[in-house]
Amino acid sequence: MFLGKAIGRHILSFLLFAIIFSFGVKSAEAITLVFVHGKGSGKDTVTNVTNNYWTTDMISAATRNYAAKSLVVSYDGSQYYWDTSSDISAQINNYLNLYPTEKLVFICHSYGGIQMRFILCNSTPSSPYYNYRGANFARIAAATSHVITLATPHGGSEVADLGSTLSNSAFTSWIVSLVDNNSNASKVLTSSHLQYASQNWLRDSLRTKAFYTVAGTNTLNHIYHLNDIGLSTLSLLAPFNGANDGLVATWSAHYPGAPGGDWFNTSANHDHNRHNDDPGYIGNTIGQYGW
Amino acid sequence: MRKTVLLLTAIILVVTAVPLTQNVENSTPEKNKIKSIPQLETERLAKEPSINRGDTGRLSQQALNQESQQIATHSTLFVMEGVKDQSIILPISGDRARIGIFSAQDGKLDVQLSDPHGADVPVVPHSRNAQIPDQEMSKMVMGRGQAKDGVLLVTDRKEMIPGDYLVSVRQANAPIDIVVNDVGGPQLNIWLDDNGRDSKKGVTIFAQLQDGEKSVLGAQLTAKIKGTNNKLTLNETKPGVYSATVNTSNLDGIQTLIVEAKGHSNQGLNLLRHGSIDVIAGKSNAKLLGIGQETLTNTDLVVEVNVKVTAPGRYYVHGNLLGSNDEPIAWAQDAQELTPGNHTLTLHFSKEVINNSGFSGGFKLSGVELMNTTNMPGIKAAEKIDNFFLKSSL
Repeated sequence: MFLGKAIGRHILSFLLFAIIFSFGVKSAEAITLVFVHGKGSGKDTVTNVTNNYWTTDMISAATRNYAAKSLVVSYDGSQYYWDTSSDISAQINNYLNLYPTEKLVFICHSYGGIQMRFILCNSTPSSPYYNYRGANFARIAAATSHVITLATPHGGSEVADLGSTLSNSAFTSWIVSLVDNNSNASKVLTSSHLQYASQNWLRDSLRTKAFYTVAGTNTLNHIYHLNDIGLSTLSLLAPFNGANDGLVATWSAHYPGAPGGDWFNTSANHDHNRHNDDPGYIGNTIGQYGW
Repeated sequence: MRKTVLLLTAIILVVTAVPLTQNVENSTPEKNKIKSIPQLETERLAKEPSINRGDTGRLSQQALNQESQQIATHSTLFVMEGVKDQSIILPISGDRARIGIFSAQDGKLDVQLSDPHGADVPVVPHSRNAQIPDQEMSKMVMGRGQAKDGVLLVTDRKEMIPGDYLVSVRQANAPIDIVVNDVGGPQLNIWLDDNGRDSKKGVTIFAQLQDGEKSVLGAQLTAKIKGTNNKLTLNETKPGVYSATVNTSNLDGIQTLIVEAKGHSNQGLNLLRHGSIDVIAGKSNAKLLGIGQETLTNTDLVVEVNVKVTAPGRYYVHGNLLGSNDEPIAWAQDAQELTPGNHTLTLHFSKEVINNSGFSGGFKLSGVELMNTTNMPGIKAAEKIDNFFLKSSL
């Protein structure tokens, strides 16, 4: 009887220790996927960004049914990336106040990847735009594991080049709503701007965190999808250099060098490559191989 | 009964055919090639041990190439905006050209497009459906829609006969825009001699019409700053290379230069091209005076960079350490908040990185530039230091 109680006490202690230990390990190595959206027409609510831009299916798949936590950020995607970086940083730092030990894996679609390059390239005191305008890039860099960019025009977009060549026409935005000719975001998505920025404040050597890039190679995934028609039409009329997803060329999405590198190509176009749907099932791929 | 079976068979065939014809790709084949990022990170960190410093690092050949790469744009486009004429000539020189004829306001726009032999070229109408929610990436649909929502007429021929095409406007209630991606024809290449620098010399813009292996000679090229009407002529300063100097003294921030090129292809076809390139201009309020003392510490090769600033703000210096034959070794950077006057910024090249490179002397300092980074976009001082041989050896 006494022996039984003693064994029981030991088992109980062991179980308690195991629970505490496993919880401790889990919290020390817990991963949060941070979703940074692309260009838009203004700042939307996080709920709308979650439901409309990414979809809950994408977030669920990428986080392996919420085995990792998720944070969706929202910013005014029509502005210069340096002006929006402090808003994005504030949201991430607020999150780190609540979960200080989280390791962050960034999932960035399109222009969102440029935002994260600016933040992570300028996170040390000697970098050109360290903690620009009072933002705390350094803390974000310290918490970052790596970044996945989905169809980010790292080397610029030929569609932005077309828009920049037009003086007045609403041509590009008429076809694909978010591609206006004159917003601040469009001005910095041209190939000449991003080539120049990559030699200066977005230089690869300025960051220690790896970027793994995903590029789209196809435009008309489904003839019955409206977005696909717009993207495939724009792809014909913009002077793309090779394969593209309707807005971003494959070469541009894979433009950054080390640390990190080209992850994979997908036939998903610029709309599908932010969703967990056919073709590509990007969310499943991130959930399975991305962290 | 027979009708029902036929109907069901037809439905099954359509349902099967749609995914096949749309080149639908399941993610499974892609996944076979995808590597796990945690695995890639483990491999990377094992190969590239980080020195855990933000002010210096290893300079790779790839990074050096990217830094010295000429910034250029390439275009096979030409555009015509706000056209009011009833007949318009389109000089097509590419055999895979795509033509878009567009009105944002006039959905009833109708044209006849004729090829160089006078044969009709069909155009497919596309319109916008205002009922589609705003969060969708595109509202464009096939076919014509409401008159007020505009129309885009696009050619769908994969092969085109190069030559002059004629657009005859049958009906238009507003000026039209034409965008041609003249694929297969000559390409307009545009580049700058420098960018983002505070210089009294201005910026020289260069352009070339590349027709296969050859350049187009004797073309007429002009450039204008977007939003202005003042045109600048680009002269043929070398055979097939056209250039002009843009006065940047009154420019501030990011400006777009739009180039128009007219000429004849090497096959004698009429040729029109438009392209653009961005220029960053402004005042740096800084001068890069020169390289100061160099010292060796326990951890670093330290090189002083002397600067003079005329306005308070943040100033940033970056430089590369190369071998005597331009072999990339290390990079270093420094940034400080400075007040007006003379100052010294320091480049600390890690000895660990230098030792790992296998070089111990004959070092050359290159690509040393000073940038005012108080605001975006940064402006570089006029001076740049290249090929400065250091005395130190490890």
